[in-house]
Amino acid sequence: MSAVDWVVEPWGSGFMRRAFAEALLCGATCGALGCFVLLRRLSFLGESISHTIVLGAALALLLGLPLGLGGVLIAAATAGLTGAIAGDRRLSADTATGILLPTLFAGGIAVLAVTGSAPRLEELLFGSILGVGEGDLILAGLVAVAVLVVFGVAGKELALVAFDRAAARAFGYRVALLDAVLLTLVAVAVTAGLRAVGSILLAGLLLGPPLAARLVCRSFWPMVALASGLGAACGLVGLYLTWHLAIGAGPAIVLVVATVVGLAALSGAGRIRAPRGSRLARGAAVH
Amino acid sequence: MLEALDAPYLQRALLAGLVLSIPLGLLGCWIVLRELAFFAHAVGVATFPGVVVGLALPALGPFAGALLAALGFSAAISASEADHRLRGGAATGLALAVALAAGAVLLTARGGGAAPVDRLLFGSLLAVSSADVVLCLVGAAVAVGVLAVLLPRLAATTFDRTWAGPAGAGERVSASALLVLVSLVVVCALPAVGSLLVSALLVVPAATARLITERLAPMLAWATGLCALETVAGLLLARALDLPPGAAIAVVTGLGFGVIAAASAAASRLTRVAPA
Amino acid sequence: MSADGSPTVATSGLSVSFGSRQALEDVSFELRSGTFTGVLGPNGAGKTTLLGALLGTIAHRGSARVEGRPAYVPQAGAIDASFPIDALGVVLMGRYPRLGWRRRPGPDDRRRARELLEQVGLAAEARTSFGALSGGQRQRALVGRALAQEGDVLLLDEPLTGVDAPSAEVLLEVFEAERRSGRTVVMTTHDLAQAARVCDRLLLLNRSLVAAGRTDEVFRSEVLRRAYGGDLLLIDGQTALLDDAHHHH
Repeated sequence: MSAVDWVVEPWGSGFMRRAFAEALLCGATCGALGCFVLLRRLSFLGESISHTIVLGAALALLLGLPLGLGGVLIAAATAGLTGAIAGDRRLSADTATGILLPTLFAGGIAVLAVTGSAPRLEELLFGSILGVGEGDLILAGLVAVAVLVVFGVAGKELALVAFDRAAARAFGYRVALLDAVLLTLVAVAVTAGLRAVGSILLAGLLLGPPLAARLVCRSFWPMVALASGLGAACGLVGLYLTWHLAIGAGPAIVLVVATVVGLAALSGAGRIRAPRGSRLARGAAVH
Repeated sequence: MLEALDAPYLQRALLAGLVLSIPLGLLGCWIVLRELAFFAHAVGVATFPGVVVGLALPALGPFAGALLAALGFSAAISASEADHRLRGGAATGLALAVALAAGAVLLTARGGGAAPVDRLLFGSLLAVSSADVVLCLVGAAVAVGVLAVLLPRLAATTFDRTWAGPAGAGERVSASALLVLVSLVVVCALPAVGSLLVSALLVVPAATARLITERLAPMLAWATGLCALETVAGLLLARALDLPPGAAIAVVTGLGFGVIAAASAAASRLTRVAPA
Repeated sequence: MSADGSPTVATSGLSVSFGSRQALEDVSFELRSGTFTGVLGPNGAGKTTLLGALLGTIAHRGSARVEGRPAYVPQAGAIDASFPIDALGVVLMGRYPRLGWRRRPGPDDRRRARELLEQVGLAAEARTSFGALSGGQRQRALVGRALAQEGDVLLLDEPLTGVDAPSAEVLLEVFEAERRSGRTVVMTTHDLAQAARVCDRLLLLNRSLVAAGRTDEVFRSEVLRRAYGGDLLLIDGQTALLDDAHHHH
């Protein structure tokens, strides 16, 4: 097979064109939002939400509602409950997330098993991008538009909150509202990504491109742009591997992401040095 | 319900679960107090590709494969946390997605067969062999023995990590030993509960115990007791409703936490009203 | 000695409690424009809480009023230094509130930010990432950000703690220039001797207000002892050292 065929051939089939569109949209939005998740140290929460939405999807299947609606509601509930449990002085945010992730996720699996929808489990876990329909593409497109609008209106404010919460509050911004906007965006992006790579692989799409971008960028918005581009590119390359090597699309995309992060780490390895801030940061953590 | 207890496979699962509750409950307390829940979740997930490789290579076997994967993962994550740009769990999150993707690809490459993916992820009542029960006994004994030695140091350094100053090397050893023990116990629990939900048993009973008591010794006891109780209830529920045992146990632990958290919230509201 | 300006910061019966713990109790004072006030007190005296009440970020009873717009420098330790941003970017953040939603900083904002970087002595470090700056340089960047807010009242939370001597000199010059141009400068600090040297007004806090007034009136041993109790070490009636890990040599 010629190189041109290798590139062009997959575009011949309708389901692959839809899959490419889905991968580009979800990769770009997850990559961009993942930068906030990464820098605000919310990785475990992102991992948690990407699992607990399986409960939302299972309940939506049971009640005949759209999967996306169930996913977004459970994602919001996860974020809210995590905050509520972590608000107890005896339990940390880490513990709160560690409680909700497996229990709500298991609840979803139990609902699927009891209601006889167990066959849907594997596509929820590992994604089913080759079966993407119009509705999925519309959801992914709406999420991408929402991200662009929110970044356009409040991008610099969201960055300020991520960098220095106390100052953002002192500047007069309603930090809780900005947090809610960000978490809602993450929730809908993750729910859209459920179709592309599946629940248990979403963390790869959400955290991998931002990690790679962080390793090569020194300022925030270039990092967001690069992570977004990398997310889309990894989706594209992953789908080519799926087509040509007959491996699952979700795993293929995540393995491409991992390769990119590895390359970024190698290219940045020469520049890594002990930051002057490490002592300070650790002091704050102890406090 | 009770005649089901005659089934040897269920007896083996219950025995393994009860034996492992002791180290799971004890280790869980340190995981909650030292905020290692993300690590506990990730180390469970990391065993998945190890099990798949172990099943493919009879010379290795799933137990050794999973243990090697868990230990290698712990070491890699400790190294990545040293880079300030990667701190905060993002590398952990990516690594476990990669572990699952790699496991899934390897499983496809082997052409399915003996072990369906959901059995590896969520466990199976039928998967616990007599040899697994023996491994659980040995693993639990090792974990409890080492924990008994570590207990005083862990107690001191968990409440004040900076105290470790003069004994920094000792703190590093006990922290690493803790991670190794978690890996060992997680791997022992895999056949019954699977890699994706094993962290529920480490985190949730201990967090529930934290709500019940303010002191360490009762917390360790409560965590172990709750862990045993919830494991047994979860296994019987899995048998009754034909659920994957990992999912059933995780749901039961979640219900247990919900009940105690609600009771604790109600109690603290009462005490707040009383003196006012 | 310039005459005092109009009152710009005023509290009346200000009280703050966190749960059952009373952090501030019935604090009333008034500060005028063109003054540089040091807020002093032992750990847990409510210094940071007072700034939060003035900014309106902490719920309180009584009144805490700031005339005009406040600019604020939080304690540097609370900031995530690994965030990918350079010194210029940090200063530009001070322009965000006046830009409003949607608008991005333009050339004018950049020019102003570079001038401010010059003023805090970081012109050469404009493109250095925040995490690679020294503690003192970071503090200078954060003060530059506060100046970019062009507020009428400058609220500084421990701006000199853990800062190297050259940076402290630069910062004190900046604060003094702000005072001369008619702003109200308020700084919390642990360092009694330094506050006595550089501030023209002192507020002594220990949950409630112990003393407030001109530095030479407040800086007397019997007044200080009321705020600090036995933790105070007086040397020849002039220099005061706090028995505290934070003192400077």
